[in-house]
Amino acid sequence: MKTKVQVTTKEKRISSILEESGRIIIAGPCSAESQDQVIETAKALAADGRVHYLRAGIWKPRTSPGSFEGVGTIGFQWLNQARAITGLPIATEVGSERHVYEALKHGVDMLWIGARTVSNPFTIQEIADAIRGVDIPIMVKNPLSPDINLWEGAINRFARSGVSQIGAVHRGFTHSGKSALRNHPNWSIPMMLRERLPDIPIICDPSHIAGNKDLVSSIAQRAMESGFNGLMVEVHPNPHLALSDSAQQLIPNQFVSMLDRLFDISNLQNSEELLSELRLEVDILDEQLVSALASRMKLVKHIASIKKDKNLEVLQPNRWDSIIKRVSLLADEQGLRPSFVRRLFNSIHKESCTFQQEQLMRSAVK
Amino acid sequence: MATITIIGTGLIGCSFGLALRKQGHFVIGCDKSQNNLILAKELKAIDATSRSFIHSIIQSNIIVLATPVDHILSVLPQILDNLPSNAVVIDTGSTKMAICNSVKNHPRRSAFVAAHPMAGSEQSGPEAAKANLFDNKRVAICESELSSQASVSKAIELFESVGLEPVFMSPEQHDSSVALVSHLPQILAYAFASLPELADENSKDWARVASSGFDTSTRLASSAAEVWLPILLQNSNFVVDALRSLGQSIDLLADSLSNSNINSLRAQMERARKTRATFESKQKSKSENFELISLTK
Repeated sequence: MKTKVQVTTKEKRISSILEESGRIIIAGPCSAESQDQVIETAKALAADGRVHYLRAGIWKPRTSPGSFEGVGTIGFQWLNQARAITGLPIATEVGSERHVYEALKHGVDMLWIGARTVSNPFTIQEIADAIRGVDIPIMVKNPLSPDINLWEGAINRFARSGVSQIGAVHRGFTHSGKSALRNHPNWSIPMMLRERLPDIPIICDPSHIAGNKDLVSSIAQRAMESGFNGLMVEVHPNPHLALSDSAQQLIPNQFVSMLDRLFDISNLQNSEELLSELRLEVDILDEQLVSALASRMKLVKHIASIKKDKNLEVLQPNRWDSIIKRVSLLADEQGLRPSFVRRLFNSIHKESCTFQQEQLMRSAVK
Repeated sequence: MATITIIGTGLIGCSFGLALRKQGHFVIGCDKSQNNLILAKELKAIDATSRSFIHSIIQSNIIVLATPVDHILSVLPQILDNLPSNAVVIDTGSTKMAICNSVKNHPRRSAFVAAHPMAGSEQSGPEAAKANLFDNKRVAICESELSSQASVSKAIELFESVGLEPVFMSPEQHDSSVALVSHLPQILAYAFASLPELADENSKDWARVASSGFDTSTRLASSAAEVWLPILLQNSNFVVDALRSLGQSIDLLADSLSNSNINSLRAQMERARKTRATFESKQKSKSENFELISLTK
């Protein structure tokens, strides 16, 4: 048939996508890995019809050397094939001037700037200069550190280079210590950015915040409820085979279910399926609760040994008062009843004291 | 290459999918049955699955509506409401009057092509689909004057690419003709195969001797009720007329036989043979259309 592929979003500006569908959805694998993987993902996403851009990393800035660092420019061939078949416009990450030239040469429809790159104003300026005069949408992720000025600064550098379609992507901030989430959401920072730059659409990357596929949906939900303008989600046909970020990528079906849940109340999947997904999330949170309790108890043990060395009392009423005050406040912020959280912590405290007493007794016996 | 959404991934939908994918089109399948979708994908009848056609049609150039006719009736207006500006929707329903009437005054009527590929099988579901199901068969296109030139030519292009030859007619001509040549054989198979004499408990006797004659005259009785009930209900006027006429024909045969009226029996057999000869000759010369007004050439 001579019928030409109809590319619905390619020529559209971000503003008109937002106007028409009320949000912008970018989805695709963390990295382009093979022709099949890219095309298979594109087909599944195009079939759903709610995705505006296919994303895939070609060059991956990774924390440690030796990790998979992307397939390089051959990935553009796959992305272009995927676009030719499905009509989905394509987006990739650029981290240097050279990346920009390669991406533009290969007809990429949207660029995004990763968190590591945004942290470096020199690189941002270099990229902004390379893009000057090209009308291509740029999505700017937040920097790794919760520094709103760095984020705003990067966006302003692009705006000054004449980029007329800029979006911000909230992907969470690096935090130290263990957490259920890979990156700390710090929701107040994107909210502040919205106040400072009211015309810039802000979307959320729940995959990087969650770091775990089971938590992606609830982060996405939170984002949409907080008025974000869309999502960038990692979707992979076989996440367990993924060469990067395998834990946080959704399979296309999970992604579609998530969109149904977020955007189509009337189209809700059957309640059995929904229930089992929600229960799974509860199970995961329970695991995290228990492991957090275990970590806490380890610290308590450590404290006990110090108390013993310094001959201090197990019970330090001032310290306990301040803990209770603090968690009550936290509970209130999170919409929990402070009395419930106090009860919970009293019982944790009781257990900790018993534990410390035992420690002291044991060493006394020795 | 085009993006084609097939709504209903059963026998007809998947046969289109198989044939269209071979030509390199991007085929999206939608079906209420998740199993059908998985199967259709495994059988390579579709490239990708979608749970909701309202979303997938936004990306499509062509939408093929291959669900049971009652479903077509209920979703066609909804599809037209959401159709992208240069896309066309083609239905494959076995009845045409009710479907055409339902969108007669729809503002997007010109983007719809009412069609019925004259091909099928008593088997249903994706497993029964074949890439060559439509090869050398005809497709009836109805009320094409209400479709835009562009929509009709897109539909013809698609049909010809899978081996279907278009014939044009009014919905009334279509429904009355298929009542005789498609719906009546179907109901005849039900009438015959549901005889109490053929009930399960009596199977010991008849099943031991039943062979090809029984096979050809009851084959269609295996068809899915889900598909045929809505067809018969939508075309009940013409089908009931045809059934009454068949009843008279059967009565005549019974009378002639019980009276040993050999002349009358022979005359009826002769008429039947002639009908069969007409059909066979028309099958051979495919380029001619049987009693159908052709606007193609």
